[in-house]
Amino acid sequence: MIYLDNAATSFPKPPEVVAEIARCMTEYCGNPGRGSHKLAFAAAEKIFDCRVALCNLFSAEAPENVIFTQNATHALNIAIQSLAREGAHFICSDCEHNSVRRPLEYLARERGCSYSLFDSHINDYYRNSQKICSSIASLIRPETVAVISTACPNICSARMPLDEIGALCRRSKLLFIVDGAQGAGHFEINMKLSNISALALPGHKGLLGPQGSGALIVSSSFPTMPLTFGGSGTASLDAEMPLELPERLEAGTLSTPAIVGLEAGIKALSSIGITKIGAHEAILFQKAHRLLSEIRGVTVYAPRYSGSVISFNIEGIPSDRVANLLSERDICVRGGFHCNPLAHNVLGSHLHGSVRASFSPFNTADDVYALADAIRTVARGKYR
Amino acid sequence: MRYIAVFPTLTLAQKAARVLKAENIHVEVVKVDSTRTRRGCSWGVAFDDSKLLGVRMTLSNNSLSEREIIKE
Repeated sequence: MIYLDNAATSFPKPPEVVAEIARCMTEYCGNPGRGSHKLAFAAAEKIFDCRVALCNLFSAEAPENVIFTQNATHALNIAIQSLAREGAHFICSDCEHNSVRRPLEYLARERGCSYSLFDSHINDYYRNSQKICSSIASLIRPETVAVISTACPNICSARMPLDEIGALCRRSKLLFIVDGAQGAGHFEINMKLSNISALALPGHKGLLGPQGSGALIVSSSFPTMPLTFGGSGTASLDAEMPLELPERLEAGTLSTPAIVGLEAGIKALSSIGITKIGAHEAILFQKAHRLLSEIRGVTVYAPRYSGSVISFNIEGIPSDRVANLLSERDICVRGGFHCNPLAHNVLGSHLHGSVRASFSPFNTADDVYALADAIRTVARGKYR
Repeated sequence: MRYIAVFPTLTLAQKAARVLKAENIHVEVVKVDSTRTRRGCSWGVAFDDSKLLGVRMTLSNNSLSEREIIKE
């Protein structure tokens, strides 16, 4: 089996992740932050370890600013909905995933908010951070509360200039929310340097943890509002959620197995090194781009950005059909629209979506050769 | 005898414990007897009474505000 759907969820997981989850389930999976017995404290300590690991990895202000969520979508919903008030205006990129677009649409429809799209220029050969920031600046209004940007769209490898956007937000006194779904674990994201107010993360993609793990990391000035309400294991006699992070935003029992798995994933990732991982994925991308471009009828989208994701189509064959044909050959890729119609609009693949292959540290050049061979065979069938 | 520095949340108590341990002050994260707090379940760090001054200074130097310090 050749797995090239790491942008959806990374697979396989490092053995350390599997081992730690198993150890948790058999040795210490008490309910963290509830009881005072040894297993509850053991689980709570492991959870705090993961907060510290995430805090260090993303240069966040403090471990208590790390809030565990089910996934990045959950984290984005907390961040975006925390800022919802009548008349609030958001600015987001024109290549945001539905995890950003749909909460904004909901707020526009139900809560009197509005939003504008800035130009990410991902299809512009002369793209630069100045053009992107000019587009953002032109959309700022007195009622604008935040800029929201992906670190990198999920259908191509065009990184967003987070440092420059963050600097613009600082100058304009705007909050800066980043969707780190396709960036975390693939390249460095530094909350301090990039002036990021809220960073949404999936644990199960580039961070190599299990599904069900995710986090929202906020700056201390970010005005959080709970999305869910309930038990927090603290101040139980109060009718309201506590004011203090992270408990304020973590109603209900945390998923200890997922969180300890995430911490093990971060350790595995750190032992390789993010820079090394990014370089490895860029090499695979370039190889894939070269091989796929040589095949008659294949179009590669946004090919000048080397990274963990490559999107392409075979002329005349729907992307989902290509993905199914590859699956028959034991190659896992994803076809369709990848929950991101906005980015497909920008790339020009909005009518049929695209085939997406996405890499992890565990993929090899042989995986790319196998992909190219299979695509060659599928395309040959079409052109015979 | 031990004192307990009470914090608003378990996470802040854990953070305080790690800061204090880094200063070689032996502490233990504990759940505070709910009858002794006005807001129900609370968490804190328990330490020997001889360390009271060091605990106060270390917490203050690290911008950690305990809610109160009580006798265990």
